[in-house]
Order: sequence, then C-alpha cells, then structure tokens
Amino acid sequence: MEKAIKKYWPLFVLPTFAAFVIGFIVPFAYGIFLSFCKFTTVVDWKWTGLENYTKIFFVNRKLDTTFLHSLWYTALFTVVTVVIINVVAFTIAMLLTKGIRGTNLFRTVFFLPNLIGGIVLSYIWLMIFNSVLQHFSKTIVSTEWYAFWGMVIVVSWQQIGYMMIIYIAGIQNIPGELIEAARIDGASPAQLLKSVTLPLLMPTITVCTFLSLTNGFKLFDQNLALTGGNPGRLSQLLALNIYDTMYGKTGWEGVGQAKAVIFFILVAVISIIQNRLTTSKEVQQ
Amino acid sequence: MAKKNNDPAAKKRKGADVSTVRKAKHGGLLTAIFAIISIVWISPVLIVLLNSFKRKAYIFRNPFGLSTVSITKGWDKWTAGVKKTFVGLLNYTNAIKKTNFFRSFGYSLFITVGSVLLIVLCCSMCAWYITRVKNLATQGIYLLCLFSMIVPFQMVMFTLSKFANMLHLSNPLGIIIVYLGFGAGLAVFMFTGFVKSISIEIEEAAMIDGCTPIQTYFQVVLPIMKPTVVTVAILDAMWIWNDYLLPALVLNVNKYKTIPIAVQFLKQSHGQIDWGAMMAVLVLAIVPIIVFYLIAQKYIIEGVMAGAVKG
Amino acid sequence: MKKQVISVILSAAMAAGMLAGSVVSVSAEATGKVYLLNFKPESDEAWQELAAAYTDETGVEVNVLTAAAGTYSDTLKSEMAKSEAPTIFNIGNTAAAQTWDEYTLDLADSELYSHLTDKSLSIVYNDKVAAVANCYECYGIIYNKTILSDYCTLDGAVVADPSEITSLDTLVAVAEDINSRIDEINDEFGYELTEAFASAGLDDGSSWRFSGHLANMPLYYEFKDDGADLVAGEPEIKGTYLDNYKKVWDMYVGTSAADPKTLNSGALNAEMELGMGEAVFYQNGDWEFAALTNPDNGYLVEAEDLDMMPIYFGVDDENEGLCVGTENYWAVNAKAPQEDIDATLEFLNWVITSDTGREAITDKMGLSAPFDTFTDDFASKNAFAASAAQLMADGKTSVAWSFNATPNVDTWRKDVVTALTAYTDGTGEWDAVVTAFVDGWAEQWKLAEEAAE
Repeated sequence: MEKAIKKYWPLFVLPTFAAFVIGFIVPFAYGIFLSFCKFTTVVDWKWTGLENYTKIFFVNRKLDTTFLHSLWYTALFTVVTVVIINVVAFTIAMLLTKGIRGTNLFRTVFFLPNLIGGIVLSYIWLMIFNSVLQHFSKTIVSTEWYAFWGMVIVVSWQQIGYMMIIYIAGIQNIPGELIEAARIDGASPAQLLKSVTLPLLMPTITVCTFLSLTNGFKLFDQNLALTGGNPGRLSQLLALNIYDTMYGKTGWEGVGQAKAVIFFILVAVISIIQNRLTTSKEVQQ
Repeated sequence: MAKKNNDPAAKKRKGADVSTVRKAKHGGLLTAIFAIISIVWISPVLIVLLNSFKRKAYIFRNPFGLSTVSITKGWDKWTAGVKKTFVGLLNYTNAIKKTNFFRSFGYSLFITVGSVLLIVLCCSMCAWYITRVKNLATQGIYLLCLFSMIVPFQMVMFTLSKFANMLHLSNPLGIIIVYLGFGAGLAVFMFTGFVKSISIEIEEAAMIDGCTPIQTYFQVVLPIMKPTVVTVAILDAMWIWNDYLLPALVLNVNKYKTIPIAVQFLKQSHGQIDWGAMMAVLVLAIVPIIVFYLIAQKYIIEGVMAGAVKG
Repeated sequence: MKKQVISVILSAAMAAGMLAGSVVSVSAEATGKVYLLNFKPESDEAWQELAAAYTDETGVEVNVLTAAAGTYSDTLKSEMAKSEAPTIFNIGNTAAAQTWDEYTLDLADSELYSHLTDKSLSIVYNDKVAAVANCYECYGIIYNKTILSDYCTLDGAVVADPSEITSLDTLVAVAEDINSRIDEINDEFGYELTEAFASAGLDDGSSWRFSGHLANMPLYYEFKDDGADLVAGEPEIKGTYLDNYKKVWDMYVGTSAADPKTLNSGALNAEMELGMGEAVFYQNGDWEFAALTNPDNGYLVEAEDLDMMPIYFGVDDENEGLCVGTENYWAVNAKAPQEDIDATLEFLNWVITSDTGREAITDKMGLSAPFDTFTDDFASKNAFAASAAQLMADGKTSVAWSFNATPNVDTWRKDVVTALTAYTDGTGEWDAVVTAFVDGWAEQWKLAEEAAE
C-alpha cells in the first residue's frame, strides 16, 4: 500500500509543505540569520555579528535593564497566572462534577470569556478598571503593579474556563468505583482528594500547567490593549518588548530580532521540559 | 497521555455515577452560589452592553448607574437623568460608520472559514501521507511540524510579514496560505496522532477493492477522522478569529481590517478614545461569538477537551 | 503513469488556486495607482472621500491609509516594505528626509512645488526637494471667547477683556481665578463650566500635546539663544527654560477639574470638555477647528466662540505669536513604478488645483494650504488660522516648530511623559522630568546617529 500512495505526494504533501515553507521554515531560518545583521527591510542587511545581542543589554556603553526588567516581570506574571488559573479552574471543575443543578449552564458561562479575543477582552476590562479605580485616584497604568494585577485578572478571567473544561474531562475520566472504594474504606474528602483524585489527575494538571505557562509567557494582545506597556515601559511583557524594539525605533530591528531569538529559546526550553514531564508521567502510569 | 478507557460512552456513564453519588449533599446551596458567581463572571459583558447605549460623556462619569441623578431625588428627576444618560443606538451607528464594522466582520469570517477549511483539508491529507509513507522526507516533515509548535510568533513576525508581502499575500486570500503555513505544525501533529491509532487494514481492503489512494482517503480515512477534524477546526477557528498581530502585520490594513484590528484602530486613530463607539464595537464583536458558541457549544467543549489531551 | 499525471495536474490546480490572489493583484498595476499614507487621523474621512471622488472622476485607483496616532513611523516602515508601498508618504522633518533619502523623489520640477507660495515650506535634503508642505498649521491655547468675555464682566475679574491676557503671569492669574469661581460664573451666565483648563491627558492619545507641542517652547527658546537652526536643533540641550515649562504645566493641571492622579487613564476627553462648554482653555492646534465645529459631534461651541492665543511662556511674551509650522510634508516614493509616480504627481496636482480638492482641504480638513491656488473661496475659514495671521500682521514672531528636531521622537517623548506622569501624580520629582528631557535628548541623539550610520 505504501508504494501505491507514495507517488501521490504532490497532492497530499506539497500544498501543506509549500505553505509551511513560506509561513514558517523560511521566516524562521531567515529570522535567525537577521538577528546577526543590521537591517531595516529584509533585503538590505549588513552582517554585524553579535552586536545586536550586546545591544539588548548595553546601550551607549551603559547597562540597559529594559529587557531584563520585562524578563523577570514576565516570569513573575507567568507564575502568578499559572497558580491562580489552575487553582481556581480545578476548584470550579471539582464543584461542577458534583452533578448540581445548572451544571451545564454554569460551564457555559465560565467558558464564554475564552472565546472573546484578547484585544476585545482587554478593552472591556480597561473601561471597568478605570471606572472603578478613578474613585481611588488611580488608573490601570498608575504603577507597574496596577498594570500587573489588571493583566492577571483579565488573563485569569479568560483562561479559567478553558482549563476548567480540561479538568472536568480529567475528573470524569477517574473511574467511579475507585472513588467509591476509597469512600467505603472510610477516606475523608480531604484524603480522597490528596490520595486518589490528585494523583490520578497528574497528567491533566501537567497539561494545564504548561498550557497556562506558555500562554502567560507569550502574552501579547492583552498587554498591548490594556496597558500598552505603560507606565513608561514598565509593564511590557517580553512579547510586547520585542514588538516595541522591532517597530518602535528605526535602526533597532536587528536588536528586536535578537531578542526574539532569546525569547524563542526560552519558550523552547519550557516546552521541552513539559514534554519530558508529560512523557515520564505517562510511563509511570 | 494515558487513556484508561477509550470508550466514550463508558466514560460518560462513570462520570454520571460519580455525580449521582455526590449529588445528595449541599446541591441547592452550591447551585445558588454558582448562580451568583456566574452573574458576577458574566457581568463585565453586561456592563459593556449597558454602557454601549450611554452618551459617551457619561460612560466614565457614571459607568454602573442608569441616571445622572440619584433616585432619592424623586422619580421625575431620575427619569430625566436617565433620558440624559442614554442615547439609544447613536453609539452603534457611529461605531459602524467609523470602523466599517460589517466589512471587518466579512473579512474576519472569510479569513477564518477559509483558513480553517484549508488547514483541515491539507493538513489531514499531509498527516495521512506522512504516517503511511515512511521515509526520511516524511519523518523530516513531521519533526519540523513538531518543532514549529514551540516557536513563538515573535520569532518569525518580522520576516514572515515581509515575505508574505513580497509574495503578494497581503490580502484575505493570501493570508489563508500564511495561516496554513503557520498553523500546519499543530494540525499535522494532531492528525498524525489520530492516523497512527486507526488500523491500516480498512485502508488496505479499500485499495484491494480497487480504490485509488485519493478515493481511499476521501471515502475511508477522512470519515474516520471526523472527531479530530472537529477538534482542529474548533481550535484553529478560535485562534484565527481572535488573532490580532499576524493579520495586523501581514494584511494590507489599509484595505482589510479584521475585527480585532478594527477595534484596536478605533482606539488609536482618533487620538483620544471615543468610548461610546468603543463600547458599541465591543458589543458588536462579542455578539457573533456568543451566537456561534450557543449553536456549536457541544463541539467547542469537546474540541477543547480533545485538543488538550493531545496537545 | 496515468495516475501520476492526474495527481500532478491536481496538485498544480491546487497550487494555482492558492496563488490566485497574487495573480490578480499583479495585473491591476498596469494603469498606475496612488497610495497615500496619511498622517493626520482627524482628516482621514475627508481624504477617503477625496480619494473616492478622484477615482470617480478619473478612474485612477487611490488608496488612503491613515496611520493610528503616534504610530506613523511604524506604519510607514511596515508599509514601505510591502509590495504595494505608499506612493505618497509624510515626512515631518529633515531627520526623516535623511532616513527616507532613498525613497524621496526630487520634487523640484513638479507642478506641486511650483505652486508653493513660500519655498521655505519644503524640505531640501541631499540637493533635492525631498518633500513639500501640504499645509501649515498653528497651535496655541484655544479658548472659548464667549465664556472668557463673560467672565471679564464679573466684579473683581483679573482682566477686563480677553485681549488683556498677554503674558504667562496674567494667564495663570485668570485661569486660577476662573477655576475658583466656577459656581459663580455658572450661576451668573447659565454655563455648565467645570474648569478653566481642559484636562491634560497623559495617555498615549493625548500626551503628545505636552511632550511634543508644549515641549516645543523650551526647545525653541533654547535653540534661539544658542543660535542653532530652529527646526534642526542641536545634539545636546541644557533645559534652560524648563522652569517655565513646569509653570505652564502646573497651571494646566492645577486649574483643571481632572484628577491629577488619573491623567493617564485614557478616559478623559479634553476636546469634548471644551466643546461642551465645560472648559475655557485647551492647548491644541488649528486642526481642532474642524472637529469642534463639526455638527456630527454635537458640541455646544460654535465657530464664533472660538479663538486662540499664544502659549505664553514667560520668556518673550510681548513678541510671541502662535506656533506656526508643519510636520506634514508630502514626499513621493521614488521606488514606486513609474506609472504610479506619474499618477501620484497628477493626483497631488489635482488636489491643490481642482475645486473638489481645494474645498476638501479648506473646508473639510480645515487646513491652511501654502499654495497659490488657495485664494478667495478657498482661503482658510479656520478661525485659529485667522488668529495666527492676525498676530503675524501685528508684528508678533511666530514660534517655530522646534520639536521637529526631536531625536528618536517616540522614545524620547515616552520617557518625558513617564517622568511627567510620575511628577504629576505625586510619585516622582520634577528633577526626573528634567533628566528625561535633557539627558534623554543627548542620549537619543547619539543613538539616532549611530543607527543612521
């Protein structure tokens, strides 16, 4: 059979592969190359070696902390959102699998924000945040921490429903008789959770953790629309910092591209760790 | 991901068992609590809806109220204040004019539907081929697809948008190809995972019966893949419909603004934001999503569940 | 064999389908097209209408894209890299002419340039006329003449007539007095006044009024002291007049009803405050005239209520006029196909000579155009432009647009705004504003030069 199919590659593989080359392979490879060049458009590049990479950290022979700031700000943001999203989503999922009345309706409501895109979502919240904060003489960009918690709220509101759905799927996958047996053995609800539910949910927890981890790390739309990086550049997450460098200042495209390469490496490392963890968990089970 | 039970019906039954066992305690109380939380949860959307009918000057001055004066000052004064606060559909007519909303809606719809169809068709075919034909090239493609899933958009945004322009892809038709290229990784990966699990005997039987590979694919393989098709379609539709940065960089935004771009441009293009028009546009942007969600809810939820298990 | 042929044909058909988009867009280029990347958000609608009118009249395709406020350089950069690049784009100053040197067509022989009344309203760079001003503009302090005159009739008013405000000190006194007597004024004349100065928004949509236009004042006087080119500037500045800048800023914030701590919320709308008769003063330019008098906006002010006075700065108040200049120069893309360049030059000429074009510029956009074709009916009807002309006739010196010299303008302004915001909401010191202003200038100048190498 393999032989019979083989010669059909122009039909089966070529369209996807051609688009993949245009949409990914060439931009990616050329992007790596350009991070070592000075350029304003893709055709008029000049090789400058590692200059772009040093310019990320040193500007005018002085340490420039903008990128480092957005790096740790992003890291902190990611950790906080991962914890909040997963704890809340898990709690709701547990309660919504108890079979209470209206479960379907509640599930529908919690999931809804996830379908609204980041830009639209952020303007909804921008209006609400500033309406409330004005009574306290503050705005969402008064300090980087108002911006921080603003983004945390928006992102949590958006993603809790999504993770909740995955947790519900995981919980429903736990065999009922297992829970029943534990209960007959006299396990308290806390013990049940700790010794039966959580261990069996580990694969689901891993998936959700890493989904929210990469989502937090790559966040852009909400950052752009809600805070615009203000005040100053203090609430710039990495993705916005890269965008700002690349499109904000003539002559700095190469530095932006170099930052993007570093960003890529960070995301790749997270993904590889995720992959390792998921695979090893599967083996254990 | 380890799956203990591959029979969905059995799974559901067990889920139900768990529910009935636990149902007894606190059911009513929990329902009440969740009803309240649900209303709070959805309230941002309701607040925007309310404010979309207000005169723009009163949106920030009185975002949660209905009238400029307190009801304690008497009914007549209060109703007069209500009249002063609300402007009917004025914000909507303004917003539709300013953003050319229906055009944006059309572009968003065209791009999303077109991209999803193309991704599902091309990537499922590609996945079937590279699973069934094992050689270095197909292995290479598979690995590249895996690899592309971990590359953030920022890494390719500059070069991708420039190449797309050089290749005349800066229009709604062209961007579909860009989406196919950038979305291929995940789609091929998910389809490949499914193809691996279906037994090759049915296909071989079809081929022996005289089917060409094309017939085999469309008459035998594709129907079996339906659940994954739905999953990929849902995940990609959610991504593309709401995507801002890729279309903003790739499309000729002069002519083609998708809904997220139209919203973002409304903020910027007139210096200070016309919050009246903004509220109306937000409502207009949300309504189609809610309608679609209510119609296709079952598929969306299942798509997300399946997508997470594989992704 | 047969199957192989079929599969190749099929895949070719699919590929062709995928490329259909490109085929269409290539073939359309034969006739010559115009693509204007417009700089001014407020004139977007008028340009779109004008473009449609031209297409109706001549069949030539004209596209207009208006960059979002504060994003012109980004948009220009990304649009220029596209295959259908703008054929007309805006450059604001000599520095931009340098950046885009390869792209600017020499306009010396164009009809457009021949109509230009004041040849200094063009940018000459690299021995060519790189760009021609399409309008000149003025800015200052817009004020509601009617309310201000009524205030002058009150007992104990600081001045007896608006024309007596001729210095910063007087202006501060008047603004403070009005602000403290809001209720009295409202009771007396039935206004709905809430403040003297309209809110000084520090959000991205409004902060340029202070980091650009108001910052122009200290820059201008310093360049003048140093004998530097008033619009090309100098690599380092001392910030000699930043105390005056502070005084004006404090007046804007102190006599406004807006909470100084929430100026960056983006919820404020200063134009609306003046338009609805809630504020008396509003620092902005003559381009606001169209918006303020446009009936669609539903504002209460009318053309005869509006006037503009200089931003008195406490340096040379008796001789100071409005800030007159432009950051709107048309440049034509030399890298566009020849037929597009021809179509573009023809279009520009039509804009400044045809009735439709002149009417759009004068009436719809409310601009004052520096071309000899704008006479009689097409002379500017803009009350603010008329004030500028009057002040010039009175022998006042117009203030040049020195802010055009700002290096890495978006970055520099962002830093100044950040410091100014912190100072205003009480979390920062004024010294930080001075640092951002002075040190930031030198640093960005150096970086901009490095980047241009």
